[in-house]
Amino acid sequence: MSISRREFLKANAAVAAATAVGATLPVKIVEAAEQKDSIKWDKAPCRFCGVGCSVLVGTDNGKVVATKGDPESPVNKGLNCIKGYFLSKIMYGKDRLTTPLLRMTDGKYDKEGEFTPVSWDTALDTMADKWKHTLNTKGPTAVGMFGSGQWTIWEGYAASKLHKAGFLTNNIDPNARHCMASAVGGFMRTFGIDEPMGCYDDLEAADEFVLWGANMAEMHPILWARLSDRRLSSPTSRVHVLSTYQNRSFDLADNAMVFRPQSDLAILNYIANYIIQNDAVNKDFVTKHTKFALGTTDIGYGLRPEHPLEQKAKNPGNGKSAPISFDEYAKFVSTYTLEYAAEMSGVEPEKLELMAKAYADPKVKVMSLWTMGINQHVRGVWANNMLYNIHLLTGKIATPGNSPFSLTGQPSACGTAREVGTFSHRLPADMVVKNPKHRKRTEALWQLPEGTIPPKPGYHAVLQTRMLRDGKLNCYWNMCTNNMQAGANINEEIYPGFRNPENFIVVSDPYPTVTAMAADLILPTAMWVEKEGAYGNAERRTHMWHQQVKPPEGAKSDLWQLMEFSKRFKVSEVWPAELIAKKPEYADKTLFEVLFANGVVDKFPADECKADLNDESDAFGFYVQKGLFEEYAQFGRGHAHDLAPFDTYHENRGARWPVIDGKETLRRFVEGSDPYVKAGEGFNFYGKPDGKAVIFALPYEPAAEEPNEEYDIWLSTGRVLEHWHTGSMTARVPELYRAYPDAQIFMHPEDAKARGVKRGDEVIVASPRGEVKTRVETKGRNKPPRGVAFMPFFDARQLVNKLLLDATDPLSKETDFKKCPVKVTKA
Amino acid sequence: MKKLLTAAALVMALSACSGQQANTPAEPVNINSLGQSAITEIRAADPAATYPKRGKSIERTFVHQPPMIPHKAGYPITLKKNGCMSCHSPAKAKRMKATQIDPSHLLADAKLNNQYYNCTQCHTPQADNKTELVESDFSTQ
Repeated sequence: MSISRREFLKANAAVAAATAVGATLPVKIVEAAEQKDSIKWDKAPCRFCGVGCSVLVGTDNGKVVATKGDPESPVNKGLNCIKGYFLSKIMYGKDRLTTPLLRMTDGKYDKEGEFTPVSWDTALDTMADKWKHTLNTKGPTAVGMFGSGQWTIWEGYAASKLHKAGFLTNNIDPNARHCMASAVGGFMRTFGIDEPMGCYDDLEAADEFVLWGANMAEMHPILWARLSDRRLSSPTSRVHVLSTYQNRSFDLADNAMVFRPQSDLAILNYIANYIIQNDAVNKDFVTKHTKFALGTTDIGYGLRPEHPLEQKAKNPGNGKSAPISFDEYAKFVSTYTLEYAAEMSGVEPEKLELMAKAYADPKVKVMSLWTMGINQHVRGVWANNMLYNIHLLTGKIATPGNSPFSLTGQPSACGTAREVGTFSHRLPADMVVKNPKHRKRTEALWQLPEGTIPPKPGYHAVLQTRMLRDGKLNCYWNMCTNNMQAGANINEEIYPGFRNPENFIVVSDPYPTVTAMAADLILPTAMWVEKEGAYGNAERRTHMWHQQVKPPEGAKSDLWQLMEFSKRFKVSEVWPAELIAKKPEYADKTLFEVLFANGVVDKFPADECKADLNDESDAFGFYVQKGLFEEYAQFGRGHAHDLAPFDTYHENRGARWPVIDGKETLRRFVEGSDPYVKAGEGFNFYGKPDGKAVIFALPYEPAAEEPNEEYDIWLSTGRVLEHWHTGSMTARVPELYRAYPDAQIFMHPEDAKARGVKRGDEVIVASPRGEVKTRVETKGRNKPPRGVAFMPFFDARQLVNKLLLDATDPLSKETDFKKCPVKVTKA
Repeated sequence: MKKLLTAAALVMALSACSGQQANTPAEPVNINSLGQSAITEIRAADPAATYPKRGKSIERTFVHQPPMIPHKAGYPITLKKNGCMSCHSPAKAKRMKATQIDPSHLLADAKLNNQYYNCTQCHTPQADNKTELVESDFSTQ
């Protein structure tokens, strides 16, 4: 797909109308650009969130000069949010890194030295020496990588393969651990297979919507535009919004509910109880397609084992369950009455009941939507399970408009982190390292001897930072992520781990991020359309883009870095003798030869790439991206994760898997839509061996910490519309920076008054773990109730995550970024 | 800093071409994150952003850029009311001396297409007391 601007205008009357800009607008520059015929337009997914909009990228003279919504995209239908419109500027911050920088003193590596430019050879050789030394002295568990849900599919795949099959370590985890791990846990536990059964088309098919803690107006703006359109255009449509503070999504709410942090668990069980008490259970569906289980309780908070809260927990980290009957389940939730839920949550009972009625009424099609409020939760997996409970009890699932929909945070949390399996416990296509059959299948597809992949899950994201601090993880590569700003408990865990003299820390990034500043070696990285890529969005849509411009001289893509690094290791240097004995012909080969030049990945000649640019294929001599994709796609084909042939994704605007015989799947588990469901079955939750989804009996359990006399206010953290995550891209776009320059603490005016401060005052926000200075906002877009505050984490000058405890859901290991007791005092 | 980095990159490129490492090690460079402070430091908050009460249209910087809002914009956009429409609707824009909503956002009957209802999703005000943290090399030329 590459057309000139003129052809594009002809082909798209709607866009042509859009370019007829109102006469009162200042259009000098725009007009000049309009008249230029030299702009070449090509498609690419947006670089930011998990919605997965398609944009058209305008390039001229080797640079991106414009970006706009892609009218052919079924996701965003020509629209963008403000971040998407300004994609054109994210690559052009003046401080792009263009050379590897190694901490040195007197020309030699020194952990306490200063960042000094070195060649790529010196950088990668230094790294390889460190890795080899550590592998030889401490073994594979002492090396690891922290990756990203913003990696392209092949970057994640190459990284995972390099670690699990090359270095023989499962110590690789993506930052998706911080955002989607609880969603994954919920899917696997309830359905035995990951990712939503429904799709975005449900936004136009549903009658009522329930937002569970998700502020879609800011975080998923394009889906919010579709939902708004549905609400405003349909007289019977209704929107229920739940959050711990009033936010922009409340502006279009028919039923607005502010609940006490953590009480969502009680509300969820109340709805299940309401459905049962009011005889609204879809008995036929429940009998045929579900079963019930009682989950283990008192499971702790995923903290270090010596933490008092872990010591106190009866069953820390226990995700087991036992089968129960419907009657037992009904009895279990029967204590979650309207009165109890209202008392626990502080929400008016009539509002809770209004929402419960929508779920219970068989005539009302309900779409539930959630993201970080539910996932970044010490009981995140449970909360996901409990959301599915409601949809399963009523059979409101997998049909148009009946849709429990787990929204995704990052652009390829689904495509890369989850589907490729870059988690420390996973393999491609939902397989796990613990399962011998899964390891065997993976080893066979990768042409590796049995026993290559270690059976024990590696260090997950939070454990990685703990192991760095403890000196057990010594060589650590961060790619496409900024954990020194985005991770929790920076002062006590992450920073000391990075600066531990025993450790060598590498950070690959286009810009000098906060994380890069704490590294020992920084690798300058090509980004977005400076390389060929593929992402997978929240509705199972895989979509691709071509390289459209060259990166700045000196910057290299993550994929190039990974593959080039693999050339520096001979199998005999990193594998034990007994493994080599099973495949002696590999002994003298490099990891590059065994993993990437293996007859499969290097099968496609470079000239098959239809783009003008492909730096990786030029460097390695074959069509790298296609080879990696086709090897990877073998895992899912025939296993309910079928991907289309590589080339089709460069032609279309993506397709939702499973894609079979060229046809994408809108809704899974339902006859007529999902090719894996046989005629006559109606529904089949085939992720479970018996085809039945599990309804879990799970209780309310408290948060890890609650406000006390000293730390007397709940702090929630999160994003804002104008910035993506830690702002390393968006805060370098002048317009986005000026749209939202500084983080603030949003508070109730009475809470501010009680602390002797007013709007605009500088305050110190403190927890037992750290402090940060910011300014008070009492009138802005977020209006917390008394006792609750909100602060965004995009601002590198105000590292709010210093305050947070690294408490996680003990099952998913995802951090709770939403419930930190703090005190606020005048600065 | 940019100069330093570029010069360093050039040295690297040259040494790569000639197949030998530079004999003298490069000088350290001074790089900074957007944090503008050490990670362990507790940095004072910058002055609160201010937004102009009113202002002239802000020139767009590339083709298809949504125009920025030249004034502060806390107007309600709710189920009952879209505050932006009070000045920017086709019926009112001229009288209010405001920029009229782009025709692409309107339906055939000149009513706002509901897909475009959340104006601040694409159009945002600009603080008038802030200069960018890092200069931008973006150019349409």
